Amino acid sequence: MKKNNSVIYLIITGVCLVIMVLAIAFILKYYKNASEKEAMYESLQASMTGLPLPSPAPSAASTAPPVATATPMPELPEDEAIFRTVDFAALQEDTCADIYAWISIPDTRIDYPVLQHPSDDSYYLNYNLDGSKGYPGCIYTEMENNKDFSDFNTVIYGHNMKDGSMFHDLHNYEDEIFLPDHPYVYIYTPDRVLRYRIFAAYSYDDRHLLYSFDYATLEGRSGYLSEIFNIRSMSAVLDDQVEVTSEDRLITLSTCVGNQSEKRYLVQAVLVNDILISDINE
Amino acid sequence: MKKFFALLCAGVMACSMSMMAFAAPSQTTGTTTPSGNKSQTTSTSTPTAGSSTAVNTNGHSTVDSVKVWSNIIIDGVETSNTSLTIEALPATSEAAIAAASWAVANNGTVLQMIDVKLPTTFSKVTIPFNLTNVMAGQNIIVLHLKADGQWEQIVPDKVENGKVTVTFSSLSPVIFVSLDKVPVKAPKTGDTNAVPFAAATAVVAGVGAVVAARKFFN
Repeated sequence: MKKNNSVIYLIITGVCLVIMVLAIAFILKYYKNASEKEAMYESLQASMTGLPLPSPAPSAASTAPPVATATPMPELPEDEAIFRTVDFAALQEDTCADIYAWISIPDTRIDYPVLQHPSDDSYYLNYNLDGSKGYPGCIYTEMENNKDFSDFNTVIYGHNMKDGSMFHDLHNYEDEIFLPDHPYVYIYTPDRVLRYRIFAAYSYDDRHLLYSFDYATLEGRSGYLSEIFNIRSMSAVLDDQVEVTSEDRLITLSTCVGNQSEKRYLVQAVLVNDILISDINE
Repeated sequence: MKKFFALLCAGVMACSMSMMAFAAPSQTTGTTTPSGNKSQTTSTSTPTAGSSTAVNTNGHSTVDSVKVWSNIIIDGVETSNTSLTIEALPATSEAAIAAASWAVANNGTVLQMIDVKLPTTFSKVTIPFNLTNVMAGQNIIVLHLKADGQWEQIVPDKVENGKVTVTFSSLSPVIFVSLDKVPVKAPKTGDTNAVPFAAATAVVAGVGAVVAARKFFN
């Protein structure tokens, strides 16, 4: 009887050890993959270069169609974030052909390329820059949005990673004191630098923004903006000093809320500067 | 031995209580992408009343009532004709079954099934239906069961947000079918990694190994 018990204990010991080793191997592999992805993004971020700061000149302003400028804008030369440049040709050739823009929010970890898959909207939700499947995926937009950010509302998605990467730092805006010091989102495209001012950050339901509202008409856009500014939630952070009209161009940064799969955390910003890189270089 | 298993079970239960729910990464953003056919075209096949195919509304439930957005237009004259009645068409009716069958065959989604009646003689009537969740530009086809039992497919005059305007030459059971399949929910961008579960498993397995080993050597 005692011998039988000994065999059972030996088997249990072996099984438990195998399970423990497998679990530890899984954890190590997870962090190794995460570390590799992080290193890849850091390498890409390091490849961004800064343009020389020009002297203040009216030519730094955009020659593009006028956009909302209701809020006082800092002098452009003081805003060094504007003068970063991305070598899109190299990124598309060496890393991924679907990279078409770069998004950055100063003082956060949000500093990533923006991708759009040509045929599968959900591809970059589950696939990484190097083509591997799994987290953290990529920052991406859907085909419904143009790649030149000319739409009324360009929705940009990213995972809310527990390790703080991707769009996790959007949740910093849940603290209302974060917004005044970090009001801008920067989008870099091959020929432009777009600066957006954040006017709303809030938890919302999981409806698909691009298919749930009418952005085709002025009335539809006005109605949508009214809905945003009428949000009455303790957790919503709204800057009503920022004037947003139905003729503006918005971006919506969308990520998840903890374990609430039916919720999304949205940070919305309006375009305030549309700057041609060629103008900066002059 | 009993104590050991009790300890092991208690450990697993304790860990599982603090474990978050986790699932496989999202495969899609809700439903499949549109077919790409945004034009108001129709299929050549028409539903046949009396089909035995089960009703399949692709997850869209039929609401009890549909209202008219504004005045209707009878033979070019706008009127607030109050004799117009709109009733929900029972999902088990032959017309509803046939329409649902057609919608499924054409990768469409039945949005609404109603029976519209207007006890007035007319050659054309234009009705602006109030259909919530319909978006401007959505590819909607209206199936209309005529008095002779034949189905006709009507392209709406206009599809706006929450509003579908349709012109009929007669009235009878009417089924609204969306031929677009668009994602209705935003992508799930949560981090559902299983590291916490793996860590808990490793701890429990480690404890189990130690306890079992001590029993073995004793």
